Amino acid sequence: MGRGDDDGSALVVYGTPLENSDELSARKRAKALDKGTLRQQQPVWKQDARDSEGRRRFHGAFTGGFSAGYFNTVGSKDGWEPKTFKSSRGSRADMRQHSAYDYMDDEERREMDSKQIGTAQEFDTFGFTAAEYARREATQETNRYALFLVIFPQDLRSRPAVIPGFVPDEIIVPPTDSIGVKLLRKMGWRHGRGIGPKHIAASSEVKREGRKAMLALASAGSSSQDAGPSLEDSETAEEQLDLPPTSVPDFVRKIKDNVHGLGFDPFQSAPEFRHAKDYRLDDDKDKVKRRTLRPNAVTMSKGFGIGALEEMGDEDEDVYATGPHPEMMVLEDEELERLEKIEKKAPPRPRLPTVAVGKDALPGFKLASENTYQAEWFHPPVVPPDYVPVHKFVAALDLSQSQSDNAPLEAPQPEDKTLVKLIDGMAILVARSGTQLEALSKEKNKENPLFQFLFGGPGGDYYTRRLWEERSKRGLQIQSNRDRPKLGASERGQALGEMPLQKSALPAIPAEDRARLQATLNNTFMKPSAEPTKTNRLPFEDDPAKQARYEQFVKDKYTGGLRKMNKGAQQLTEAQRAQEILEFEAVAHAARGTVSSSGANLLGKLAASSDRFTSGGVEQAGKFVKSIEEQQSPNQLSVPSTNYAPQPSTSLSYPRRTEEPWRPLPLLCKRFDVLDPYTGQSSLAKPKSRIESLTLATPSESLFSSKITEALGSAAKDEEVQRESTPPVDEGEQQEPEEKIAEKPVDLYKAIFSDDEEEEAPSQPVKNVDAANAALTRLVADDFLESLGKELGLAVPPPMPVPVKAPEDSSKGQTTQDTSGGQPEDISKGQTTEDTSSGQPQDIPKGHIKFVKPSRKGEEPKADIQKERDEKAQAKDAQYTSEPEDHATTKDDKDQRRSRDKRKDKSRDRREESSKERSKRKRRERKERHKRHKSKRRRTSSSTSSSSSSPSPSCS
Amino acid sequence: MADQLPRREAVVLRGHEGPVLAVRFNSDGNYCISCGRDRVLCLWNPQKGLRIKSYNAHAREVRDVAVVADNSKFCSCGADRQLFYWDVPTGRVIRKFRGHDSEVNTVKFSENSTVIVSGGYDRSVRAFDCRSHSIEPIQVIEAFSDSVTSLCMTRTEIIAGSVDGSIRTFDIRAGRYCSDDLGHPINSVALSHDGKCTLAGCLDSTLRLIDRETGDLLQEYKGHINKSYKTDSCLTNTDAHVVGSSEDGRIYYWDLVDSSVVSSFKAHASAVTSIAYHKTEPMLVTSSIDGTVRVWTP
Repeated sequence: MGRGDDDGSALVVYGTPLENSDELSARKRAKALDKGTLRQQQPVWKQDARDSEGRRRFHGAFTGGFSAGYFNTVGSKDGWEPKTFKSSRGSRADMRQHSAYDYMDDEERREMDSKQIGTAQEFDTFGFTAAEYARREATQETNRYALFLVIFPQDLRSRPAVIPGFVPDEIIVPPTDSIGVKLLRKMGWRHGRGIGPKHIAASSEVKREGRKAMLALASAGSSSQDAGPSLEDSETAEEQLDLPPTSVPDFVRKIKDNVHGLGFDPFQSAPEFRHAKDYRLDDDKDKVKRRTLRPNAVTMSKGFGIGALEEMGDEDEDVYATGPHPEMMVLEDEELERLEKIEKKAPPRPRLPTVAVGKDALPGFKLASENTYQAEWFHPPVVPPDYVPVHKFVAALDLSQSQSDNAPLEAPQPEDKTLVKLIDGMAILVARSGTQLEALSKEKNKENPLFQFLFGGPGGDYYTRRLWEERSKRGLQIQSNRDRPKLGASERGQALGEMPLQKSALPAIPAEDRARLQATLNNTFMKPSAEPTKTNRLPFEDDPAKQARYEQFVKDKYTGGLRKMNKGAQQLTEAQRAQEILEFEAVAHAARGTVSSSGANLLGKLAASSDRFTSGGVEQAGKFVKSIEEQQSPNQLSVPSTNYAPQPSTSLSYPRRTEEPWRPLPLLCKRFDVLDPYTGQSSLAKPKSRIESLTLATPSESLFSSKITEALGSAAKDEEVQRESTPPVDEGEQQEPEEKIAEKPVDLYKAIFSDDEEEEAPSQPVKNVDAANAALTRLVADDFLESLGKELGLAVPPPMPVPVKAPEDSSKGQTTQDTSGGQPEDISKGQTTEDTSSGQPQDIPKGHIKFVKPSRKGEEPKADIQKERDEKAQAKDAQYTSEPEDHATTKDDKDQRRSRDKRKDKSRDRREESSKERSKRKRRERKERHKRHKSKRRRTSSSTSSSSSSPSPSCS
Repeated sequence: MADQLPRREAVVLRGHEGPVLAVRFNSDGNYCISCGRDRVLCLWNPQKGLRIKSYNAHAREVRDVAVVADNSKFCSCGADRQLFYWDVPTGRVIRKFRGHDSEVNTVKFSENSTVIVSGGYDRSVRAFDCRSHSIEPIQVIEAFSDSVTSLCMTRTEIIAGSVDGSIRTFDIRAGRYCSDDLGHPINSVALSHDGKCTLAGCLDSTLRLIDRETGDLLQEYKGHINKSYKTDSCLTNTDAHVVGSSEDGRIYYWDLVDSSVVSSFKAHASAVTSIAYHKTEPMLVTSSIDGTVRVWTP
């Protein structure tokens, strides 16, 4: 649509040009407006985008928004409709893959389709049955030809270029031979004949038929075709015979004798194997022969084959096998035979000399007279003439040489000293490094006059002699190295400086046993001594029998081993004999020592000692012996006696037996059909650990217990003192855990201190446990009090023995509120001043708190119970020292107590708590006491607690 | 008497690829089962020299095997730290017991075959219950201070030898255990047939016969080499001789009483790892590092 047409130029214009409104006429303008090409005239808001089909592409906001209407695209009149959710769970199989095609509108689809390559109608050969088309065409053509012949008889060849007007359209069909038809025709196809694969894809059946027909024809003798035996030949023959092809394939009914699926053709892509199969199936009679020819599975296993476990099927031929296919060969063989049979009548024709097929040559080929193929043959490597197949080791060789060689004659040294030195060095070197060195140096120093000895020159004899000497030396060394036994663990350890393992029993045996063992061993065995001593002196001259025994002893000593019973000693008792042996030992040792120690003074010393022995007699000798023995014995014992026979020592040390209890689990016992030896016991008692036993043992130590008993006497007083002297600190939180901790060792202490009850309170049936507890606490508290007292500048009173006080208290009776002792009172007073200064009521002593605190919550019910008991114990209570104390029954008192609790010292409280963990009974008694005081107080005292009332030392 | 000792090689059982680590007779002595470093257990007919079955499941070397009294099952152990409880005819693993913390050296059944007892490198002896489905040990005995190499069972006792040099006898009925310290690492423990003596093979190339009652050393047998390998020792079925294996591939027979070497012969090319003597007949099977199991008859 460009203007290029007008200009004739090569300009090409794309798109629609805008028309200038000035140039347009009214009509044109209206047209242009209508078309939308005229833009300038229209205001912007009136212009709208339209697609190629004139549909509005964009819509106003109130008319559906940007292209959102349902006119053009999706949705409804009301706009987008949300889809309700629909589960695809049940229809997963229906889910299909969407392609881009599904999302295209018709325009896009068209566009897409236009890009696809398809066969145009005019070229579509197979749009309808080609045969039919061809037939029709043929008829048309004949008609046309007839027409042409009628109209233009002169021009047969040329097609009519111009068709006269009278020819109707149906008659004059344009030459619409499709390209396929043209191609077919070029390939020799003619109208009316079937199409389809003729050569390759033709079924074997067809081929066979064709071949048969061809053969039949050939047998008729009319054919000029040389019926070759090969398949190719038969094919060509078939072609040349021009068998009528059929447009419809021949469906030959075949019995399905395989296990393939219906219609499956295993040879579809490999039709060359089909023949083999067919022949095999067809000719049953030839089977035997073929079997013989048929190769075994062994030959099949080249390249890719079937698995080892699969059986060779008919279809499992090795398609990758190279070389002539055995089956093919069979086929050819058979074909030949058949052909020969058929061609009996036929005139003999010159045939190629066919050697036995399958053996050497293919039919039509001749065996070559000489084989051009030659396997390459390499000659074996030439073995050097001096090659010795057995390797000999140099060292061994040298050794054997040195041993086997006869020693060369002794040769005199050459005069030249340097030459001698050289020869010596050379000999040593050669002996060490082997004969190679000699050869090397020979080669090196051929011209050197100094080395002429190597070549048998001057000094040659000496050199050989020296060499032999060195070699023999070296050989000896090597041999000695070989002979050296392998190092054991102990030797290695020694070499490495390790401590030798103590295998001996001696260290494990206690000292006294060791001594005994040593003695018995001495009695039974004797050490062979290193050097025999001359027994030229007679230590037991006065007793010849003894002397004889001694000599025998000395003689035996140097042989060692088991002690022989002396004939003479038989009448002696065991003890005497032992004594005597000891004597002999000492004497012999002394004699040997003197002999070995000094050479020069030997005689004189000998004389002296013999003098001593002779003069001193047996007694002295015995002493001497003893002293020697004493000196000797420690040494002997400390050294593990290797000289003694090892048998007794090992047998003594090992095996060692130890027995321990062991608990088999119940299930194991059950499985072994044995009653559980530990039935009834929940678990095996743990072996007492060392720590446990220590904790048990410590309190029972005598020192400690004595201290405790000592302390028990002053227990009560100290406790009071401690309570008073401690500064007030809040301590409420600590009560409970301390109670728990303190409860634990009660039994333990009970066991220990069961006897100490009397001291504390003879008349009071307080449990031992409490007493012990108190005592222990006090012991601990003593130190603390001392330090605290020092801090406060107070004199800590020495513990007052209770027994002194107790009668005093009892004599005073209930009513006395006075102090019983001066010192405690002082302290209490001092304390009191302190307490009052802090503005707290302090009239309740510690002892009171002790029982109140743990039972603070449930105090009232307890108190009720206590009341009953109080009445019972009234008589007993009369003995006790009265304690002027307030009782916490009134509201005020309770408050007081609470405040007082708060100001208690923590550390003091801790100590107190431990003592507080006494038995209930004690508390009860205290309660009773307090109650009594309370009632007393009601009777006597004023409302304000008297600061002067001092806590008397109570026997707690 | 001495000529009745099995010294003639009757059959060589070949089939293991690599060292055979243990060979054991079944309870009636008609079959034997061997295991080795090739992780396979083989069941043999020693009379005919036939391999009947092989059992594969172990992941690492198999060190010992024990057969149940009724021969229907057996248990094997090895370096994979587990105990495999097998069914003989099907060759399937019935259960895998969670064995030890390290290699398991030895395994034995209790006399009534309800408990498997094993000893391992983790210095413990563990007992496993065959009757329950639990794979956990029912008891772990950790009384040893070194690897447990060998085990013996009586009706109510477990006797274990350890490298720490002790034979420990755990008496389940009495609830006690006694330890006999021999002073040398113990390689093998065997009971005499009268049950009164323990034969302990020690790594100082000595076999020691211990009186179980008193713990006394009754006799020592020397002559063979045993310093580094785990070998076996046992008594003959008549208790008249002691059989020991040597690291040079020889088998030694000692007279039980006077500890003289009655006979010795070269049985294998390399160290003998295990021997087993027939319960009733004079028949010996030996296994070796050379990968063969040999059957010896008089």
